[in-house]
Amino acid sequence: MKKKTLLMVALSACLLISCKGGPKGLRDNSKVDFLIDAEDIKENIDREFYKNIFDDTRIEEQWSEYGIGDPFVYRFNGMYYLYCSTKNGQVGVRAYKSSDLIHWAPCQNSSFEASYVSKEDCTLTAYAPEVTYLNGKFYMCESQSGNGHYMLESDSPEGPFVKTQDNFGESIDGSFFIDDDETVYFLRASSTGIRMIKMNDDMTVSNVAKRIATADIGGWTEGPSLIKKDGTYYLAFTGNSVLSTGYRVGYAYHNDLIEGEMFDRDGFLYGDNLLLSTDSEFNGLGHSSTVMGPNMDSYYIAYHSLESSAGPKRRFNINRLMFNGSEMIVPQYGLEDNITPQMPEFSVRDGSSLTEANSMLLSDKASGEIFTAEFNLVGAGAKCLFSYVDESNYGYISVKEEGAGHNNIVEIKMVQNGNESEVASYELKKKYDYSKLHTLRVSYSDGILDGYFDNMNIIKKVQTSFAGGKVGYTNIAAANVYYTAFSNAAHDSSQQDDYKQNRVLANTYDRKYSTINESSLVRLQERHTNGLLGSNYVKFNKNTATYKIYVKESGYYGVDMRLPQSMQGKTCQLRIDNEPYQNFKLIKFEQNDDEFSTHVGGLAISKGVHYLTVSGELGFMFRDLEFYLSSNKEETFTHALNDFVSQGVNYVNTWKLRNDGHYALSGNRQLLLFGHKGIVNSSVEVTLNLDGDTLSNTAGVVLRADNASFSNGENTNSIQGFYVGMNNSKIFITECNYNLTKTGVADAQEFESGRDYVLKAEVIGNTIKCYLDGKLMLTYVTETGPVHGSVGLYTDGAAATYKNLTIKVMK
Amino acid sequence: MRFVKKVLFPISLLALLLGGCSSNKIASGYDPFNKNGINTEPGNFDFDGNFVKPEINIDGDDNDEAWTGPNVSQTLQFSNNTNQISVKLLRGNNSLFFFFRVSDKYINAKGNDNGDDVSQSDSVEIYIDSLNDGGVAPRTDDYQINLGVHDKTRILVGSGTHWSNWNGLCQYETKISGTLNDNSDVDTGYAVEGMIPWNQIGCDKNSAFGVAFGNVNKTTTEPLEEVTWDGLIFDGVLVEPQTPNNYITYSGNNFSARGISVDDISVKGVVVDENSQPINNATIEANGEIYHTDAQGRYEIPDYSPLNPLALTISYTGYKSHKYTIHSADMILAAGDFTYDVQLLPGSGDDEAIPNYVYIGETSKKLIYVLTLEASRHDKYGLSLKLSIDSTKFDNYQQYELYIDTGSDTRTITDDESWCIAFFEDKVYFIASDPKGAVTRHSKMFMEFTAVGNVYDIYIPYALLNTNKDAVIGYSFGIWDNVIRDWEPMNREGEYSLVENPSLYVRQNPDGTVIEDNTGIADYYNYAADTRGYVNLGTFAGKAASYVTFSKITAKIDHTDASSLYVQFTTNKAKWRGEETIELFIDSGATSRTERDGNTYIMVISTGRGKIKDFHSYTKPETQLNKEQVNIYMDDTHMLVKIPYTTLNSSLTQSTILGFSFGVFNIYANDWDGYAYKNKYVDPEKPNQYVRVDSTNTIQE
Repeated sequence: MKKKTLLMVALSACLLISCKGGPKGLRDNSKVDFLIDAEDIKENIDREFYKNIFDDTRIEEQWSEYGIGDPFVYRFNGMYYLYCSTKNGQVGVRAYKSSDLIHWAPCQNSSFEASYVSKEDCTLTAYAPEVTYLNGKFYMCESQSGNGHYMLESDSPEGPFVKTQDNFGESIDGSFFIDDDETVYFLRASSTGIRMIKMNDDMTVSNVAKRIATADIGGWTEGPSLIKKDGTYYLAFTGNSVLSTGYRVGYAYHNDLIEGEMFDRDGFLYGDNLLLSTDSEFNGLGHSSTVMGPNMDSYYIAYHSLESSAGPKRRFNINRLMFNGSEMIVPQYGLEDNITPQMPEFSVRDGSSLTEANSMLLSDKASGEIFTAEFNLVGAGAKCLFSYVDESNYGYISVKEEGAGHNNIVEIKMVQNGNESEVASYELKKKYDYSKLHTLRVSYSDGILDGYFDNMNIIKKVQTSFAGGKVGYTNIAAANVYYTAFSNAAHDSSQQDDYKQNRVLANTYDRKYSTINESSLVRLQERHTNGLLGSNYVKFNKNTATYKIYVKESGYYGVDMRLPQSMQGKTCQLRIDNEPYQNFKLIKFEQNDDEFSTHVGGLAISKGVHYLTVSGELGFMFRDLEFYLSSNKEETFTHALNDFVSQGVNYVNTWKLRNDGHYALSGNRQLLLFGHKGIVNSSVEVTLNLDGDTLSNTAGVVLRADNASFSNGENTNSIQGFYVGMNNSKIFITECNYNLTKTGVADAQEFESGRDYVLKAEVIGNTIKCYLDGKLMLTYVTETGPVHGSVGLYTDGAAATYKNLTIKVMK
Repeated sequence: MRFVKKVLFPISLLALLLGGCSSNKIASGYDPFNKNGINTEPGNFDFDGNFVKPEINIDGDDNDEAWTGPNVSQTLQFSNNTNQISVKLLRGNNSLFFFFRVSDKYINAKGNDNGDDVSQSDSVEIYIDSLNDGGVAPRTDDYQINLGVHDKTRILVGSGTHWSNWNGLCQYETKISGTLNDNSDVDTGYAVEGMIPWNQIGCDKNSAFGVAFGNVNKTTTEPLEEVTWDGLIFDGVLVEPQTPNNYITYSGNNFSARGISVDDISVKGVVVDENSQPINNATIEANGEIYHTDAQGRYEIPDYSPLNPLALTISYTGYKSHKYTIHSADMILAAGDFTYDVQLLPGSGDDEAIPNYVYIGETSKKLIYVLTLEASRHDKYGLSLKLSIDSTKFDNYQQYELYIDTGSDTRTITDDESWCIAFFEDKVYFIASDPKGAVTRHSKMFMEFTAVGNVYDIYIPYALLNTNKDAVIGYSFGIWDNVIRDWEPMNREGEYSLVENPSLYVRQNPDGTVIEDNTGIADYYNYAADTRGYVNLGTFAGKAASYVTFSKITAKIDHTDASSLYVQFTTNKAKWRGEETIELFIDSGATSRTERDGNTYIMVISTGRGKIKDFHSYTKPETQLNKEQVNIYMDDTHMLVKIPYTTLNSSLTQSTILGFSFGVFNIYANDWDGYAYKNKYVDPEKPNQYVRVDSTNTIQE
């Protein structure tokens, strides 16, 4: 009852603010300023789901007992091509194709049996083949067991690929990147991070590979995948060992906005973990590749998960990748409930499916006001139409062939009432062969237009005005038309249409219900200590952001946010559908850095599609929000540990019963987890007795724990959570998170072996405290550390007995 | 649809309240915002743990009542070297329990790590085929649990081809009667009590499943010392655990041998004449059954079990009868239908490949018995070998390792083209490529292996060795004697084939002939007729090593000949011993040098047939000097080596003062002994210590 009263106080405070804010800002329990249409909230959502792990029943002709490792997905002419590593000791590269990223069939050419795209000798144990298309040729690089690269070429993505360059070295995991200024780069793995070389025009490599600062997952880093989007470079990479359950993907980004210059390798900033899961069914996530989605306004990340370290046997997975300014995020990745990629509104494989009228080929459908249209064609001179309203009103993009000594110009023009005017043009730096296929694409939304030539964003953010309309071609006497498509999405608008399942971003709100607009996004403009430069905050100024979410299981969901430091103590408002808003006052604590992660509160949510509306007091800002199944129960869990625990526990390793307690063996890393992963504030108290000398090894407890990996090569830090531990010479708190681990605090003191110590660790909000025998020993304040997780007993090689466990879960 | 349900809200709340009452969970978390009446009450710990508490006390003692109850298996017994092992199983409600008792005089463990250290330590092994479906390699339902005396584990699950790590939550406790890693006393042994929760292996209390057991015995505290492995012998057959097909079935409380399950196949093929034209209506007699070819010459023997060899006689009027027995191993390896195409030859009588065993090599009598290896290449699908012993039977204290090499004869270390088959009695330990590397495939199933009296008959499919009938095959073998605790390698006419070095293997052509390397074999030395004037450099070697005493060899030099240096050796034994190689060091550089350089030459000569094994200057070990120009002459006790000066170095002449040192390497002792001049050791690594002789045969003291 006391709690209820407090809540009322908070609400009335909010009311006051709202009243002062103006007539539209009124929000209280009885009155909402807009209603979600009942029809939008459906029990069964209208999008299809797919399961991850594409085993050999879903992609046929995989390497047996090896599966699809190091998947690379390439989009060309509206199709997707998936290439993977060759099983050890075998010859040949196998590949698969798909139009929707979900249904795959083996590639086929006239030379080889299904799925083989090359059988060159140099494809013996060909690791991580990757392909790029450049001016009529498909180039493939692969390394034999990782011992330097070969280059192969083909006229078709389905092969046959023929060797054109002998081993030119550069280690393993070569990957192409073509910048918007037409420069081609070669990236590859190394023990100190991803390295990059500018390629020569003939696709050879003669320069020295240079390290990209921060493109380093801590130790051996491989599987680079670099894309450029809206002027930001996003580089995903993987480490450390493919045989580990803790194999994971991280990323670095670069907000280089300088036109046409080779980007600065030192300008990259480390992002965060992108994919990490050590679940028994879904672990060892890595070696990703990033590819544009079928609607041309979305991105997907393809990666493998580890099925067995023997082989190693791996499986293909794919998930939606999203962006929040410079932040790269996979909001939901898992086995189930992955939402099928959106397809374009309109697509044809060639011109024969378009309607001919007035010497034009036209689509039978018109795009909406926001659109992305793509044209693939062989031959120069054609005008690729978009925004076609009638024969006197349309836009087009075309390549204008210049005379000898000149480069070609890509131009975008607008025809209004029969009068033509130039919108933008770009002179290509290199010569291109127009007897080969090239791709032109335009994206338009809200008065802004981008133009692409062969996936290079050559025309950037031009202000203009186009209506929705058909797509098509004219002036095609000398051209052949291939994949042609449009979708009603551009400039990340499709991010806003998707169901967000775990984590919502500051720029993915639902346009229909949100009352904020782009101007509400606050871009992080200065280099910050732990904020992501260039990422967006959404700022509330008497308005709301609404997110469409899909909830798999009814229950109580915790909500965590990452916010700027200035939001400490501010009030956030959340509501589900048309239920009343709940107000949550944020934590306040001493902080040095500019961002913090915190638990905001919790909501009861039923299974199905819902609308989560976020608002807050005037000026409230946040960067992203995570919600997860939790509990709102305060409770105490006790166990003497003199017997095995049967309830609420997850034995990650084998523990022994000795000395009337749970015993961890020397030389082993051991973990015993209590409670589900949604525990936020808690304390754990346990009697700990170190057995034998402990030098570098330690034993203790872990709070907010998740994703522990115990594979070979992993160490104490291969877990996420706060490790509060001790040995004969110290007591410490470490914020563990693999390569992003923070040292925390420690105190050098002597502690005896063979003696009972009562170790207590407590995490409330952002403060972790450690007590020994009732005395406060250490206090550590985290800023962006984990916000929820399980409670665990954790050792790093020290033998120890644990007895008399008490865990308190607090609100 | 949620909106409609708003009306129903009070009902669902009521339901929640009622539910709460009965489960003693009052809705204390009633939440005015929880309009949908969603149960937000499940606590943070309201789920079943993933580990089942053992129903019995896992303490390394089988004193729990359950171990004498009705759910306990018979006790199985087996031995490993001098260890005696007993094991029994207990079906609990939630878990399988096992109890090993091992007698072991010396309890030893290696390292303090989980994983491979366990298989190098005193340990017990239980293997489970949870679906009881066999398989030729461990699959995902097959588990291997190795538990060491030092509390360490190696827990694996099959991947379809081999074993990989498994994070199963097994519980176990070891109880040692004795002292770990202390061999100053004699231990009694140890016991291991363990538990595997049924849910970890997808079984339940009533499941029938396959099992195998093993034991590793580490006899010394030396970390790198060999260990011995042995497994359960059931119905006289080793239950070889790497191949789940071999496991025994545990059903109820009973163990039973199970038939190997291999799918039936079709054996089919095409019969053609001498012009490769199909023969219609040719007769195929297959194990007594008659089949005929169709108009395209095709025949098919359906639903045939590959576990039985298939004797074929294919005949047609006017043609020889083609006879061939398809080996069971080849059909199993084919893992599917087996194709056997035949070209009939005009004429009468039989067309049948006749075994043609050729002598490969033998061991000496050092280990009491002589073993002889013969090989025949008559079979188109595999190697036929005979390994015989000059005794009435094979003894179980001797283990045999047969090495087969399918790669080039220039390789000096084994690799994945080198195969090792280790066995004793009728038990095959393993077939592995690269004996130092991972075991890839192994089972008697893939080969035929029978001990008949004093002969092992062995058939190894080429497919198992990744080779074919047209390959040159290299052989070596050796015996390990567990009583003498010594090893002996094969030799052929005194030339030893060290198993570590494929370039020394005896190689056999596809036609069965052995590639004889007779180049560089010593000519006869008419010692009595040798009137050269030598200077005596004294003797080298002669030390006693374990049970072998090195030969004492006397060396003499004649440095007065204008073109060649003459070195003469004499052994104190009645005959040269082939297991020894002489090492001759010659130095033409300055006397004061303490390090060898390009002026130092090394020649290694086998005493079996007087072949030069190695001849190079110290700085260029990869470049062999011209052995052909060196002449070696031998009789039973003398050896003369004639070395033209220019073979060492084109600018070298008789006038150069030369320094000498010597050594002997004994293969049996795996040991070396050097040379002392006037009781002072002459270190071959130090040219300044070499004994120098000038062109008048005068020693430069």
